[in-house]
Amino acid sequence: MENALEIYQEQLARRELRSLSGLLAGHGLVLTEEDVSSLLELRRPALQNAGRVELGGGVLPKLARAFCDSPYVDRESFPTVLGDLQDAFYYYKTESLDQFSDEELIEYMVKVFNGPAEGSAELLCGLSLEELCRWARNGGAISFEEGIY
Amino acid sequence: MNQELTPAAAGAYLLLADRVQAYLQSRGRAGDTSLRTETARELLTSLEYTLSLSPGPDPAQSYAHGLAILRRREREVWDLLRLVRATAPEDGGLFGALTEIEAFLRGYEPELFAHLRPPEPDYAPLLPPPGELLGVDWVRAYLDRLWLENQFLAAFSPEELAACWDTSLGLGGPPENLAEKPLLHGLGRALLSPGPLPLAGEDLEALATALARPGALDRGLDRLCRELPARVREYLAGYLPGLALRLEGPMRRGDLTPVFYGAE
Repeated sequence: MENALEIYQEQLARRELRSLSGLLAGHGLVLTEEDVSSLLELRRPALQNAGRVELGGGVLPKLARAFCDSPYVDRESFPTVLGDLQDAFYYYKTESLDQFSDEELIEYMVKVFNGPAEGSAELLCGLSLEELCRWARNGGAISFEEGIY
Repeated sequence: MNQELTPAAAGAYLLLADRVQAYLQSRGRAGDTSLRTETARELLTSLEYTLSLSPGPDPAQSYAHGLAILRRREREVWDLLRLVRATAPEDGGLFGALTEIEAFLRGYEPELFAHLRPPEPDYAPLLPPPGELLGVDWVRAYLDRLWLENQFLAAFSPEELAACWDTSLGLGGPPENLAEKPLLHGLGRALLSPGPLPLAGEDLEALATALARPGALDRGLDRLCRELPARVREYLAGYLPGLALRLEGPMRRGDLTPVFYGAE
């Protein structure tokens, strides 16, 4: 039963991600079926670690839409970056006690990713929620020492 | 829909997804894609509880019926709260508990968290509501007990009640339950000669003899509740087995003072 539900949810996510192929192609990006499978496989532990549950297609399509026009992603790095961002998103969401909407949080992540983090998903993911908010508001440059490692 | 998902499971999944959306919307997060696991678990428990009220093959229909049942019960509970409040003796502890119940009912969300109960109120009835009851069913059982106790207390004059409650003051405060001491002394009086409550210290020796006869507590309760609704007697009868146990030791020692004057 649980498997059937997971399969059903994965199908929803796949469908939503496929529907973005036109938009992604416009930015020279592609998510292959293999990429999507890897991302969905990463989703389960990411949700578990953050103590969250998703019903429906999940946050991946939102992240793909928000980050596809970043100057720092290309065809090769995009699936990996998406996986890292998915992980970070769930972490921030829970850390914020759900006080941020998906859109607010993604907006902050985009600002930091395209700004002070200069396209480093590793750097972005190492920030605490408080640091993310600070850097999103104030900009500037982040050094690796700023994050939590 | 996936082939492996049975129609019933798909129906239940859609219901849960719908509840999740309703929850997110109610918290100003309509567009969010995820929620905390514990919140999802509470929503699921609520859904299962609501479905259990009107089981059937169609989950959506069962849920709609279950929710209608809960809303009706919620209205009944509000009426019961008003009734209990209007008939309750003046007492800070009891009124405080009723205020807590009212606050709970004002925030009650049967469509999201139907199963949630209020925090344990500070005022306990003589008999606790069954632990397995959830949501408004628990509140209804709690208030119903207070309503039955209020009807019992209404059989006595305010002076008699106050004098019974005073027998607990040696313990450092008012009684934890307003009906307990009037019931104890009322039972004793019913087994002895007529007179005002509470029993005097010198009555207790004669009472010990009366209580030693088989079926004394039941007989006393019959006499005490003669003028009261049958449900009140039925409810108070539930208190007797525990009381019989509490009386065993003092009866053996030939001193009922600890039970009747609160120094157990």
